[in-house]
Amino acid sequence: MKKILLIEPDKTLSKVTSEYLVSKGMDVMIAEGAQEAVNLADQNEPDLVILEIQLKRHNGIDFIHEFRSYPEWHGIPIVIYSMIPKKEFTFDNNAWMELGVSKYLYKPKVKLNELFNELNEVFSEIKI
Amino acid sequence: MKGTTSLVGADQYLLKSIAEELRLPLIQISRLAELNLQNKNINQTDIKKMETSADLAIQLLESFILGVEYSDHQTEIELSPITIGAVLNDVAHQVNKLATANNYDIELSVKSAHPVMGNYEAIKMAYLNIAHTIITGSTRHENNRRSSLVFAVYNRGPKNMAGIYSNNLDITKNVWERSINNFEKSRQKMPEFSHINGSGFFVASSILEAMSLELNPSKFHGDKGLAAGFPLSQQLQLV
Repeated sequence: MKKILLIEPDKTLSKVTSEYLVSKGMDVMIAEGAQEAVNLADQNEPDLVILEIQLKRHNGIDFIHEFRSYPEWHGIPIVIYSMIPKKEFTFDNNAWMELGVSKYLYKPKVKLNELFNELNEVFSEIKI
Repeated sequence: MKGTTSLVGADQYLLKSIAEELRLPLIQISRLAELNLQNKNINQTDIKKMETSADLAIQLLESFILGVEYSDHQTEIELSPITIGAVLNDVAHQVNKLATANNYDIELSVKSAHPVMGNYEAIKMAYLNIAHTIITGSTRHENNRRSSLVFAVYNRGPKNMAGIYSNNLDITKNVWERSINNFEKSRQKMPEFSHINGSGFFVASSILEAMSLELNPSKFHGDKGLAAGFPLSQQLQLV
């Protein structure tokens, strides 16, 4: 069973997304913010992180830097699932790759079934 | 359409901000519906309708936000060679389920494959809004009578015309111009066409206008609709 760390500040969306992924056979831990996410990952290492880049009191990019500062978590893929479109960042694809971001998904356009398919694609690429 | 950007005027930043905030509750509704559609014990028809309504509203807000960003040059429009028939084909596929559920039969009539310069995603978004507005806005359905929704691309002089037409859409030059004039004065913008405001048409128009394209009433084989003319590039035809 794949372990997902879902970092989502909106309680309704985190609950719905989590329930959907659990119904598809995934194990989901929910964090509302960056610090909680680091604590959860420390207790139970995830196979993949889903991140809303727009966090309370925190910038999702800062979270990625902090997360990547732990050598044991270097290989854990991060999928951004955000209300902010990718075009608002000046990063090119290489910059996202260097941060270890496997996918950037725009929440208003990506439904839960598509999110699930994208996660499976990431898993098939890294062959955990 | 002339003066579309003035429809939002000085309040456009506030409207954009409201649109951005409204997306979240709509996404919550849409995703909750998607989750519940997995539960076979719940009335699937009602949940599906709720999901569709939320998704259409999200699409409209996204398009409005894009239109504001384009008109204010907050977002640069990247143009590349595209075939407009491919865009309309994509839109037709995407609206197929909604059209069928609302008694529309989709037809595709692509008589030109010349490449034009444009932004595929932005043009797709504009035409999606036109199609959604025709399908969901029309009040002229009679006893399950089926209507047509024609996606047409054809050449007219130096332009590739791309439009969406219907035998259920009574939109003329006068109706269109009066709707634009009514925008600030009247609660119902297009009473000849719909009980709704037809905002999708105006949002589509603002997106196209940002690419110097003008959306206008047009006719195709007797059906009325809205179309824009994409200038043909001789250079692109040589590629």
